[in-house]
Amino acid sequence: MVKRYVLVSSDNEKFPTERKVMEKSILLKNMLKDLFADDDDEPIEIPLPNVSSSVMKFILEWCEHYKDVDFEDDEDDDSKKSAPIDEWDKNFLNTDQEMLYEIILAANYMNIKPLLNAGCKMVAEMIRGKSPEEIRKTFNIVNDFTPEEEAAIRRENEWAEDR
Amino acid sequence: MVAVKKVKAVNFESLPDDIISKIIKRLAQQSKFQLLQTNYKLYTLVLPALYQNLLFKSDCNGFLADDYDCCKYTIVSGSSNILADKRLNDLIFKTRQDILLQSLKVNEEILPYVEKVVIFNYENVNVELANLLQAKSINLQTYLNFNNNFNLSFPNSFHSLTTCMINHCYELSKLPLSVKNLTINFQDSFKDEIKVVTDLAVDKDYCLKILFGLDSLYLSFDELSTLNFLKFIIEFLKPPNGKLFQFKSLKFIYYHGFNDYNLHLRNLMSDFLFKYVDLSILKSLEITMGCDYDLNCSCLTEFVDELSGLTNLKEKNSNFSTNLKILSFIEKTLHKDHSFIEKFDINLGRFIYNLDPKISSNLETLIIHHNPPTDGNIENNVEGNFLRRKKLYSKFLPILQNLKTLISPSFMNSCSCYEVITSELLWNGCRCEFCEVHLSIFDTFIMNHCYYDEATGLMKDVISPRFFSIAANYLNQRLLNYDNLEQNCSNLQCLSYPFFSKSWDFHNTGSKKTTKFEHHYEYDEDFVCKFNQSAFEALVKVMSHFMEAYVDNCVDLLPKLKTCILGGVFYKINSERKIINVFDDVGCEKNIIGPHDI
Repeated sequence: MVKRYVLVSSDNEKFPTERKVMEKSILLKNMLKDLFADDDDEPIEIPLPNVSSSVMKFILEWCEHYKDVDFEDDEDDDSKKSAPIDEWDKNFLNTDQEMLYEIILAANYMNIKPLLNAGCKMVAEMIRGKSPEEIRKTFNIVNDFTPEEEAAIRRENEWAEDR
Repeated sequence: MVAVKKVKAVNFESLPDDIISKIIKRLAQQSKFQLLQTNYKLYTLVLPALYQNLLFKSDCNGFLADDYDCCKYTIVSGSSNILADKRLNDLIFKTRQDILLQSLKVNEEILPYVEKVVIFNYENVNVELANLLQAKSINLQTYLNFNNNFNLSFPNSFHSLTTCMINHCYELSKLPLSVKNLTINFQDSFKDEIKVVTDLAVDKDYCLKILFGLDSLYLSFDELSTLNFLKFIIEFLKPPNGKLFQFKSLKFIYYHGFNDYNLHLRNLMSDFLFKYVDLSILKSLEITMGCDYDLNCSCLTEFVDELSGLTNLKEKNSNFSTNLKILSFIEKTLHKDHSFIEKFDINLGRFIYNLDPKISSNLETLIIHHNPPTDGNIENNVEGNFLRRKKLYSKFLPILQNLKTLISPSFMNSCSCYEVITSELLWNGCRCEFCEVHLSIFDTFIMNHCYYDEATGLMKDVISPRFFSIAANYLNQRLLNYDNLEQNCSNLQCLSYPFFSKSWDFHNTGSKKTTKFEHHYEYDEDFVCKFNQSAFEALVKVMSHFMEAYVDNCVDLLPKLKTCILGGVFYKINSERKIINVFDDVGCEKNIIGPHDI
């Protein structure tokens, strides 16, 4: 298939892409629908200044994998949100933290909800079962509470603690 | 030429707040609690999610699994330790409520975060807390308090409230017009309501405006409450002729009692349904039905024929349409007899069979909730009768070619009423390594225990139907609404809530102390029975293996089936039509045989 569409990353790398793959992104899908007619044979370059080439590779690999899957557009579909993370997604997103956040940000920007959902679940998995100190360590979070504040916050919310 | 943009390194904290909030929404309660203690920014982001949906339930050990379903709720429950007894659970439940109340009083700015409150407790509810949440959570969307001792009092500023329940007819006039989903919860508090509303000069037009604006109406399981509410609507409010209620979801009761005492209720119910409700709008319908009057009485058949559209005796204003996606049936039968239960099954099947094929083939969810006695002791419980019921279901289920979800909250109880079935489960059931080991342990337990039989006044040996019935009663309570029919919780909502953790100590059989399972001490006076809640997980696993054979049957009958909940056991069917026991299996190789495979 002729790839007439070329996505351009923030560092100017060009990614010739099938329309079907691109349309996993609602942003691009709407853009194509509104701006470019189907019978136009000219190659079209679409700049994505918020997505670097390294992230773009990941995003397009994900879109390629799911190009034949129809995702429902419903944002508030609780069953989708609450389903466990897909095994393929889990392996795919098993990367370093910085890249994972970049993918999440790009998925958010490009409006690819299933990928955003999977990315958020991956981060949630990293928090699960950890103590506050372990969470700080995992994510390099600086504790800006005084010991008294920390104790007070723990006290006021301990009704929700698992015990 | 696009300018090259220098990308800053990102870390968790530098993510935009809306992305962090999305991550927080996917965290279970304990993770939220831990995360909010890490730093101030995360504290402020976690707090709204922690207080958004509050669920109060003391008789459970929190949620069953730390999965994504439970991320939607923050539960105020007893101890998460399954060994905790009722006294300890109540104490912890009370303490949790006290701390929550103090937190809300000190930080009133938290109250606007609260959007949903479900209080699922008869007792031990902190009145001050419940009233505070009801009065000051200005963004409250759902307030369901199943304890009917509370009166509703929402300030006029509650414009977001969409779902609530009322304990008196006159409370209808106090609801904001934003209410779309209403549950009727009168029962004991409901006495002489018509006189009360007349005395209070309730604004009829306002009440009708509320009712005509409703998307869902769940009528009480209690006959008297429903009777009075229908009288209130039909005889007091008198809706204008020809104008139909546009409910998308409806729950009602049609019950023929002993001595034919409730004829007026049945007539009013038929009038309400056929003359005042636009059935073509309905997307989900829950029918509580049964006939205890006489085995040969044809009332149920006439009613379901009328409802399904087979006959038209009462000049219906409308019929069901393909909008109908969810059907739920609850059996109400007081007779402890297979024949009366089967009568319910036959009429349920008849209703589905007689529905327009366009409607039945379009149904997506079917919920069938039987109410067998808690001890599993019914008349006519021979094997042939069980097999006949099974055959009946295998006849009409294939009509539902588009069915995706099948739920039978009391399935294990129903099976436990037939001794030959539970004996097969115990002695000739699943042959996996796990069941081989554990079934013999449970068999020993059964052999060593007796109970006081109230009907005969004798101490009797525990037998497999008693054992599995009682176990099933506890297992079923993983679903929010099981065994709480009198609390008017609808099965239509059962998948809105996560599964709860519930266990059984192997001795307490329910509410009455006299029916405890006791060890045969005469054999060995010094013996201390070591069975407790810690063995329940294994028992659930063997029961789940037993039920899996039935899920297998359902998968054959229903090509689109994706979710099956039998008792409190959750099965998913994947794209290869393989059954996944979500909570209660660790991948055992099963070899299930028994009468259920006949």
